[in-house]
Amino acid sequence: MYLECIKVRVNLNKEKELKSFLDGVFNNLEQYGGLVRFEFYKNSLVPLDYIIHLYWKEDINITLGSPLSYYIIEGLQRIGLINHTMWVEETTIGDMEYNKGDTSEDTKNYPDFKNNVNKEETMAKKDEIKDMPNKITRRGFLKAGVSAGMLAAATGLALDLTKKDAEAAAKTLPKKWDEEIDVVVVGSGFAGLAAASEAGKRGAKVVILEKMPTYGGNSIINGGVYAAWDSKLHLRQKLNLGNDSPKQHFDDTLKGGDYYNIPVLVKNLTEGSADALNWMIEEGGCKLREALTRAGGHSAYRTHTVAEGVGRGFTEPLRKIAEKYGAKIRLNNEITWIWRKDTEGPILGVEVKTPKGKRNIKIKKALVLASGGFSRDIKMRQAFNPSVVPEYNSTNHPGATGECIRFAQAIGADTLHMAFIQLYPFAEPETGILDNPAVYPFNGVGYGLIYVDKNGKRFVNELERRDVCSMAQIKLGQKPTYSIFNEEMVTKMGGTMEEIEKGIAKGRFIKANTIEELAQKLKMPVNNLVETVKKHNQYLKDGKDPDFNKPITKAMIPLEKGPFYAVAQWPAVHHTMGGIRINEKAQVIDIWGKVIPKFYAAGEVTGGVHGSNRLGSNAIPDCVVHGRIAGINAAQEKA
Amino acid sequence: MKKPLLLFSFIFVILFAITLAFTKGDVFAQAKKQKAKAPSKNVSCLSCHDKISNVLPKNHKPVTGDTIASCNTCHRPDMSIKAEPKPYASTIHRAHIKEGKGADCMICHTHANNRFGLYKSGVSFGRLKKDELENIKNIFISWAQSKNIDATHSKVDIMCSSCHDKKLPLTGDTVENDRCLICHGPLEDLQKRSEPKDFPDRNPHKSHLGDIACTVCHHSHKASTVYCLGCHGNFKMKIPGG
Repeated sequence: MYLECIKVRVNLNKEKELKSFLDGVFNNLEQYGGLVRFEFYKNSLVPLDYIIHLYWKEDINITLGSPLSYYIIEGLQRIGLINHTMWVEETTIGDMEYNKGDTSEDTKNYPDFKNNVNKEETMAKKDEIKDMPNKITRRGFLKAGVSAGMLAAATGLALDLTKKDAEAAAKTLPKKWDEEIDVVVVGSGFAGLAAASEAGKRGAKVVILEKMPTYGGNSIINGGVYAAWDSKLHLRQKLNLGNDSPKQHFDDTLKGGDYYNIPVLVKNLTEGSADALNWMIEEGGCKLREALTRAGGHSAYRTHTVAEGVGRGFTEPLRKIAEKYGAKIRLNNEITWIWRKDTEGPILGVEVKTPKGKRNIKIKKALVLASGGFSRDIKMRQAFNPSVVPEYNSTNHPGATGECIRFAQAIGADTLHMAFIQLYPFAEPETGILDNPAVYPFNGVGYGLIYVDKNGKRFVNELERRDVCSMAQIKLGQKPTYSIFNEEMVTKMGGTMEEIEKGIAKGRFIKANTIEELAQKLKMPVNNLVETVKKHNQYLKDGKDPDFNKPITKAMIPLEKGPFYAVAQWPAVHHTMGGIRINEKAQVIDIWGKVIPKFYAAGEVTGGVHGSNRLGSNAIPDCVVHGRIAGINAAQEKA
Repeated sequence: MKKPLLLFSFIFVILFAITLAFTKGDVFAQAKKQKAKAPSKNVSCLSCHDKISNVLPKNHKPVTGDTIASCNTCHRPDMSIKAEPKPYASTIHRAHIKEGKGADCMICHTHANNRFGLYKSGVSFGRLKKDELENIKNIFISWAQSKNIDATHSKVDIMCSSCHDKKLPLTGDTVENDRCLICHGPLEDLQKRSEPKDFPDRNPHKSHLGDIACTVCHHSHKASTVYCLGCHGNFKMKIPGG
C-alpha cells in the first residue's frame, strides 16, 4: 500500500474555501480507482498547515505522484495555496501505530472511503502529523514550495527567520492591535532619549520601551566623556589647548576607524556634536567639568567630561528633556518582534513582552531602534568575531544582547561591520566593569599618564587607539597592566581628588609618595619602574619618544612630583561597532539598499559610524546626534 | 397519581429516620465531608474542626453558628487599603493554608459572575477571573509559607492590600516605591541603615542608576535578586528577609 502525503500551507483567511474544496473532492472520489482512503488533518501547532493523506491500494508513480494529488494542488492554488510538499511512501496500514486517544477538535478526520478499516485505527495523533509511522521503506520528494519573497508578499505574513524549521518561516500579523502610538522608541539610552525628546517636541506621542527594570542601559553607566570640537563653554580656548575643527575631528574618526566608516554618518557626528552638547546643557541642565582631555586616537583636546563623571550626567538631562515633551518610559517592556507586512511596505508595529503579558503596538509614525549593541551576548559576538573569546569580561550592562538586530534583519534590514568589536583597554581586571577609576587611564594620556606592564616597562604608545592598546596588553600575556600618574594630572584630566580618595578606599587606586614605593606596592621590579619613569620624563623634555613614537605635547606633565598613583587595567569587551545600516537621515536601509519606510535607528545598534574601531568619547556624540536626527524625522512621518 | 408519590415520600422519610437512628449522626458527617470537596460551596467549619471553641484564641467570646458568617458579624471584612497589619484576616488565612496541602478559597469565599466575595458578608472584593483567582491562591500559599518577602510580611500580618493598595492585584502588578517607604522609609533613613561600613558608596539604596524601583531587586512572590551583581560580580551583597 502507498501513502501519498500532500503537506500544504494555505492563506489563513481561506480556511472555509479549503474545507469546501476538499469536501468536493471527497464526494467525487469514485473516479480514482485504487484509492483506499482519504484523510485530511490540520496541524494544531501551525494554524495554516494542513496535510492530506491519500492511501493507494495499487502502485502509483512514486516520483510523480497521482493525478488526484495534482488535481488537489491545482485546486488549492486557486484559493490561496502558499506552499506545498508532496511525497509518496510505501506503507503497511495494518502495522501503523496510531495513537488511539482523542482527536483534537481542530483535527478533522474524514471517514474511510472504501474498504472500511476499523475507524479507531485511523485516529490521527494530535500534533504529530510530521512524525510518520514506522515502516516507511521508500520516500520520494516531489515538489518543494514557492520562494520566501512570494510568501510574504502574497499572504500578509511577516518573515520569521528565527524559526528552526525553514518551512515555517512565517509569523502571522496580529489580528488586532492592543494600542496605537505615534513613535515607538526601543531603548532608553542616549540615542533613545534624544530621539524621544525631538519627536516629542514635534508633537508626536512617544513611548520608550525599555526591557530592563531600570532606564539608561549602557549609557547610564558609560564613562561620561564626550568628544566635540567646541561647545558654548569654549573650554579649549579657555584652557589654551590648541586648535580643533569639525573637519579635524572627522579626519581623526575616519583614521581611527581605518576608513571603514560611512563618511556621511561621521559628518553628522562631527558637525552635530557641539550643537548636541549645547542642547543638553541648555535644555537639560547638563554640567561639564572645567577640563578637556586629548584621548587616544584624537589629534586635539576635545574630550569633555560631564560633572558627574559618569554617563548618568548625560542621561538624566536627556530624560528630563524627553519627559518634558511627554515621552513615557515603560520599563520591563521587551520587544519580541517587529511587524512588517512585506518587503516593500512600512513598519507596522512591534510585539512587546510586558509584565502583564504580550501586547501588539501599532506604530502610526515611526519606530526608532536605539537598543544598543551586543557586547554581553557571548555567542553572538563570537559568531561574528571568533577572537572575542568567552573569557573576556565586558564593561556592558547585562541587557546588551543584540536581539533587536536580529528582529530588524528578519524584516529585511541590512547590517554591516558586525565583526568589529571593541575592547576597552582599561577595564577593572577582575570583573571587567568600567568603574570611575577605569576612566583615568583613558583621560590621563594627554597629560603624561603612562602604561606599564608587570615588569614596570612601557609597552605601547599611550596615545594609540583602543584596539592597539588592547592588543598590546593581550600580547604581553601577563594580566594586569597599570596606569601611572601623579596628583598634578588629576584635575587637568577631568578627575577629582574626591574620586581618587574613594578609589583608594576601594583598593582601585594605589597611592605612594615616591616611584620606588609605588613599585613596591605593585610588587614590580623597583629599578625597572624607576628607569621607565626617568626615561619617559626625559622624552617629554626632548619632545620625542624613541621607544613608541608617542606624539609629545606641551600639556604633558613629567612624573617628577608625588604623590603618585597607579590603577590596574585589562581589556574587556566594550562596544560593537557593527549593526544596522542607516543613511544620513537615520533611516534603516534594507538588504536591497532601499529605505525601510517608518524605520529609524541610532546609537550602538547601528553600524558604520565608527568603522573598525571607535575612538573613545565618540559614542555619546554619535548616539545623541543620530538620536536627534531619528527623532526629528520620525515625528515628520505621516501617521 | 398523587397517592403513590405521597406514599413513596412517606416511606423514604421513615427509612431515613431509621438510618439516622442507627448511625447516630454519621450521615451528616458524611454529607459534610462530601460537601467540603465540592467547589464554590460554603461549608461548615465543623466539617474539619470538632468544636469551634478549639480554634478560637483564649478569652474569645463564644461563637454561635458554624460557618465563616459567624465570624463576619464581628470581624467585618476589612476593605481598607492602608499599609497596616491585619491580624484577624492574616491569622485566619495563614491557619487555613496547610503546609504542602495548598488551600481551598471556596470554603469561606464566594466567586460568582467573576465577583470575588465572602460568604454571607454582603461584600465583594472586586472582579476576578478564574485564572487570576487561581493565581492569587498560589500567591497566598507563597505568602503563608515561602522563603520570599511575602512570607516575611505574613509574619507581621501584612496582607495583599498593604502593598497592593488599589484593588485586587493581578498578574504583572507592581508596587510603587512610595508604598514600600510608608513602612520602610523615609528613604534617607533606609539609606543610612543599609550603608556598608567598609565601602559607604556601595550602598544598594543609593544606586548610581538613579531613582530605581524597589522591585528591581526585591521581588515579593519569588526570590529576590541583587541587581548590582549583574555587573559587580565581586560585591558581597545579600538581601535579608527573602
